[in-house]
Amino acid sequence: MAQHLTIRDFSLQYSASDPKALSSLSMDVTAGSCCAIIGPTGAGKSTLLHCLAGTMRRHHPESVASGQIQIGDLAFTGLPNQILFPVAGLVLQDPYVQISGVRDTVFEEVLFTLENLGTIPQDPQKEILSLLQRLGIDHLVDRKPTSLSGGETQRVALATILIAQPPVLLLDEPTTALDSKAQEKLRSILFSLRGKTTTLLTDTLIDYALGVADQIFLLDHGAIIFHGDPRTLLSQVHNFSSTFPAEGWLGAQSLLSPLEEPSGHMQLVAKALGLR
Amino acid sequence: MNIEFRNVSFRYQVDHEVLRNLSITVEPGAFLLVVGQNGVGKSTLLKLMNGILKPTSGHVSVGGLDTATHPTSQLAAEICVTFQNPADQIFAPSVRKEVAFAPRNLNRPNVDELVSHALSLCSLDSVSSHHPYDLPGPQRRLLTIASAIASGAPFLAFDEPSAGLSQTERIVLDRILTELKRNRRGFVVVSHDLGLFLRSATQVLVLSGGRNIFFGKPEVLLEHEGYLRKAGLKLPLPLRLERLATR
Amino acid sequence: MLTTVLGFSLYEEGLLFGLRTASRLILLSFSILMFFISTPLTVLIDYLQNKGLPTYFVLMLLLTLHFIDQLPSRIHQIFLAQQARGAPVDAGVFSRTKALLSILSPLVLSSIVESIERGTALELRGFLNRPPPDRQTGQVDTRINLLTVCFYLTAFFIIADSIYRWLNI
Repeated sequence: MAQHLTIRDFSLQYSASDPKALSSLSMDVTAGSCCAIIGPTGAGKSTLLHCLAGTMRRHHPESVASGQIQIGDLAFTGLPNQILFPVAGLVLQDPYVQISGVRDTVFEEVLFTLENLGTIPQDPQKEILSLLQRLGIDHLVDRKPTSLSGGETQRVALATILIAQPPVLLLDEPTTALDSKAQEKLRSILFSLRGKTTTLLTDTLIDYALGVADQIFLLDHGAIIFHGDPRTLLSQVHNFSSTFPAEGWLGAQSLLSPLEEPSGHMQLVAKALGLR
Repeated sequence: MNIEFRNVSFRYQVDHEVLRNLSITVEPGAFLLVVGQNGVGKSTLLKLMNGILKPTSGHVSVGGLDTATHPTSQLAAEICVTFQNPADQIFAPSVRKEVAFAPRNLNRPNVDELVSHALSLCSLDSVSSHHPYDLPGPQRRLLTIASAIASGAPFLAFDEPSAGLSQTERIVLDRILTELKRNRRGFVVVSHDLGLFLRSATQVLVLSGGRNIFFGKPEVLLEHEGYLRKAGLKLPLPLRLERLATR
Repeated sequence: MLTTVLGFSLYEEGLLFGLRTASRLILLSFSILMFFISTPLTVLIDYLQNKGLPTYFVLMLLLTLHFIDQLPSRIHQIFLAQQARGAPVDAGVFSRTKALLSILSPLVLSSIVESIERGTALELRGFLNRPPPDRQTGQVDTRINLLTVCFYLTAFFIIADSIYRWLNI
């Protein structure tokens, strides 16, 4: 069951003497929707995800946080002081690092998560196979998890988190290690998760997010400088030229100059993205 | 002095042929983009270029040197290959020392000049005394690129140089490649990132099933998307947009 | 006295004492190493948890053993990357020693960074709150390899030597 995620006025410093890594963030993510947080390196995207996953307090005990985080019925003032899995599941950027190395097959690797949680169902075969099918990796069920390609490994890592049916799914720069085909597969998986899980993903580039997210937040130096849907963002391209230099948008340098009229530009992009 | 592949085939084991009868030439000042799905032999191609792997049949020569009869340390003076994972090579306590590694190994007479030039080209001068692991991930990748540029080799080869780079660094990379082209350095880039490289490339090699299914100018490839589709690839969004806009 | 080396006199008793001490140290190290290397990681964590080891320590051990497992392939990858930058790996002994730092340093640095990430990933899958497994681990397959053979041979000779010395007294 997907859950609503709310952040109110959340700030974080790694220690009392450090500058703010996150500044008064406020976000409302509807249950079951997909939200993208885009920002340059060092903007605080990973930091935010780790705060939501509960690892921040564990790994940085001297960090100072204020504000509210609410995931469904769970509410925290400042940082959650424990790892929130299986309420919030976090998939890290490097897919290979998430394969435990203590299990011989993909099936056992996914089962490992349920062992950790102590919630192995009556018929684990059925549940795990069905999940692997949805992710398009059922043909890998007996393969060694360490012998797969980047895209396959990432989907296995995703399976190890999704098997716990987290109401909130956090993805840290999921497209980094993927080629275009694998990125397309991930996109269809994210579409299929709509309604079932609330997804938050981060990225440094805007292109991908435009095609998958219901809502986009632009993060720069720890603060939100824009939030809205993809269409609105596209119509305000030039407002963010310092964080996202205009010639870097969509990677197409020549595209922006011949199109003077913003709405024409927008229509074109929407058409190419297959947006309604 | 070119990079030349003449009827090159390579197999890892008896039944695992990775490259079949490949013949291509890369001239100084050229930018060869190599594309294809994973496992098609792109990384193998790079390893054949600097002698790490020797061809099962055919000949590879770089700068006039046959890779089968010259050690990699000698070929490295002609072509500097940079692999995918920066963590596999970063070892020095400072960015400057890291970048100086290759030119020192190759006994270049003007190491300091090469290092300074590479650092400024890759926008790393401000962090030259920092420890490489104090830099964020994308900058560490630029560091590996700077390390290759400083080697002074006439040819540079990169395996997925744009992976993990954010918007800012992609712009820096684009600028680096333009500058290198201007200085008649030749380079080979293996990448999925058609959006960033396709238009700056002077030649494109599309590999599928170990075979060369296209070798020629990018403009020709853009007109014949079929080659890309055959290799299981797609034109990236920005280029599709461009075609929509210009039609 | 047996001989003189660099001005130091070498005696039979000293040599035997040295050999005996060294073999005992080797036997000790082998026993520990044998346990870990002969037990597949897949079985190890369940076994250790059953024995009451806290999950935190199991995690630390897991990360260390994973590092050891990956050593050969990591060294190879690093070797190739540095060779491609002209590192003198096929030159004389002195040059190769200089190149050693360029192999060891990325190995250590990247392993530390990766271990932290791995540990985090396991935490994020609830590993630290893992309940001890219900099932008892059955017979564990021990791998017969060179290390195992050396271990048993060394153990045999040390025990044989001790018995011999005891019988002679």
